[in-house]
Parts: sequence; structure tokens; C-alpha cells
Amino acid sequence: MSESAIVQQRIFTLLTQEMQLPVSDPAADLIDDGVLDSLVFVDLIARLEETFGFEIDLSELEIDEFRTVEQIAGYVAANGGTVPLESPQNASAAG
Amino acid sequence: MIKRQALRVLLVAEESAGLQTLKMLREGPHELAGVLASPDHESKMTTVWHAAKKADVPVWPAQSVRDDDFALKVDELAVDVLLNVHSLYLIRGSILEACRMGAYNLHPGPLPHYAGLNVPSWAIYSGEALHAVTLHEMTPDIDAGTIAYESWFPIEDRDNGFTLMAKCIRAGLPLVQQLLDAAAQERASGIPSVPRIAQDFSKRRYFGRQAPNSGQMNWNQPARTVLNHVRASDYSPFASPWGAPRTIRQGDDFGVIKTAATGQDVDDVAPGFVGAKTSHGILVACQDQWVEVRKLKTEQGVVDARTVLSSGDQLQESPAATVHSR
Repeated sequence: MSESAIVQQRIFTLLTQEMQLPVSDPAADLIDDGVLDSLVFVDLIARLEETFGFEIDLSELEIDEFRTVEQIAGYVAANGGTVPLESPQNASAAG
Repeated sequence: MIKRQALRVLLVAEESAGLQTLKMLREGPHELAGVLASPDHESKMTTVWHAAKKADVPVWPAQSVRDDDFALKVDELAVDVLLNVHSLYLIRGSILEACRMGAYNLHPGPLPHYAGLNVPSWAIYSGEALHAVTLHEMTPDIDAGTIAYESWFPIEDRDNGFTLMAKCIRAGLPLVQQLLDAAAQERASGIPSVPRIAQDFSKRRYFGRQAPNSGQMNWNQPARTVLNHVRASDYSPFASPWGAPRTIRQGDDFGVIKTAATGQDVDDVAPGFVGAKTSHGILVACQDQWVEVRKLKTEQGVVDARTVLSSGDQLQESPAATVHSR
């Protein structure tokens, strides 16, 4: 599995299992679907930073490029996020 | 050793800051005596109520803080510290007094200068270069207790209401940890460890729920003020607590969502006059300079300003500004 796919799976797990959000698929628009509001979005930012060990520059963040799991995974990869060690259980959770 | 100093904490919380505080408390050395939050039964979102229930933490409706009888519950729970994180309910004095080591509020602004509501947006609107988040002791008066900790950070040109609020949350959580560590040390040693800095009320400004200029765009202001008004209101794509500043063209009402500075001086046109189209938007005259208006909110949703405005249009000025402070 590519690193990009692992990042995407980890984000999917974070959203669906840790944050208990109803995400249907990695291409779904989380904002249009009402999954993320501004408050949950801030929580997601904190969890991404913790999970992938990098800091997100809030002033530079383009939220419109942060609307799907695929986009978020792309952002993490492009901004120095590192793939965490993953349990097999989590790694298979995105299905 | 750590458990001997553990505090019993009652969390009154909402929003993402509340969620993150709940997570921090559950993972930390202190005991979570319970959570008060707004009940949700149908929300798709993860809320403090939902997260506390899921974690089997005792939870009560946030409005219990308006009930003097809840002070008995606080006493029964042996609460050392009450933490109020982004909950807007006024807590009864009897409840505050029932907490053995005090009650503290995480406020997303510097005190005493920015007390009240939506203060990150007010700071941007006011052209501030710095902002702060403050952890202060709670008293029956809003945002008026002694200051325990504050953390300052710059407001960047690209910041808007949403990003500055998010920065407040990020900077605020370590203050909560700092408070709990100091309070635990204070209890163990008997030596005051939590700072208690009195506020200078001669410098207090309190901001209410209402947006600047009653939510109307006033083009007859310096371009910098217009730009600040727009970005202070900008939480897009999420809902803004102020809404977008409104402007009118011959009865058509628009919300101004995105603007950019041009640095170009205005000559011989009235504020609100619409000028040439640019590569990203369309120019609108302010008191001193043109601003580039990029996105407007119409009945059709958020649109490119160039699709609804034309050169020669006149956007109406809004009523004079009414800054709600006291």
C-alpha cells in the first residue's frame, strides 16, 4: 500500500472511529454533507497535528482545499505530516 | 505521587475547544468529576455532550448552571476546579463558590480590553496586530475575574474570524493544563501557585452579540477598515456569527464575503462606486482607496462578484457605525 493510501486510511479512521463522524467515502465533501462545521473542523485540525506530527499554519490554510478525505491526505503529505505507526485493526478500518 | 495531587475537575464546555479540553482531561492525571454541555440528540457532529456520554463521564445539561440547587451537586462531587470552556451560560454565584479551588473561564481574547462575545472578530475589525487568549477566574460578572494566564500571538494579514478563533483554541489549551498543574501544586504545598492578577476595569471594553455597523458594510471608511470588516466576518465556508457585511445596489442586497487590498487611491468618485473588473474581482471605492471585491453572497449562494456587479454601479452606504462596547 502506498504512503498516500495509508495517510488517507488513517484520516478516514480518525474521522469515522475517533470522531464518530458519518463519512461515506474519501471523495465526499465533508462540509457540504454537514459532517464538519467550524467547531468540529478545529478539533480535526488538532487531531491531524497530533496524529501526523506536524503543525498546520492556520493563517495559510485554504479551507476550500480541505473538504474531502482525499484533499486532507494530500495536504498532510505536502506539508510534512508523517505516517504514524498503525495497528492492523486501524489500518483496515477504512475498508 | 501524581494521583495524590490529582484535582477533581468539573467541565462546562461546548464547541471544539470543549471537545479538546475533554480529551485532554481524560488523558491527563486529574479526575473528571463530570461534564455540563448542551444536550444533542440529532446532531451529525461530535459534540461535548456526545463525547462525554460515549466516555461514560457523568453529564448534565449545561443549563443546570443556572440552577442554585446544582451547587449542592458540585459540593457532593467534591469539585476542586470548575473549567468553563466556550460555554455561554451564566453560572450561578453559588455554584462558583461551591468549587474548592475556584472556577476558571477560557476566554478567546485579551482582558480587560476584549471582554464579551466574538472578540477575535472584533480584534481583527479593530486592526489589532496581536491577540490573546486568557484563562481567568470566574465571578458573577462576565469576563471580570482575576487573570491566571494569558497567551499572546500575532494576527496575520491572512487571518480571518475563523482562523483567529482556531488560534485562540490552540493557544488556550496549554493554559488549562498550566492552571491544573499550578492548582495541584498549590493544594499540595499550601503555597499560592496560581497567578491572580486583578483586571484594570478602566480599560474594559465589552462586546455584545451584534456585528459592527449592525452588519452593514460602510464604504465611506478607509479601505483598511472595510477589508478588516470583511475578514473579521469571514468564517467561510462555515457560518459566521456576524454574517457577511451587507451592501445594497438599487434594492438588491448582497453579503460581502471576500475582498483584497489594491493600494490604489480613489479620485473623484463616491464611496461605494463600482469601478473596473480585475483578474480576480471588481473594484469598489472606499473613502481613500479601491478594494477588490471577489466574492458576494446572493440568493443563489456565494458567487464571483464580477457576475453581479458592473462598472458604474453604486453600492449604498450603510448607516453610521455603532460599536457596541461598554
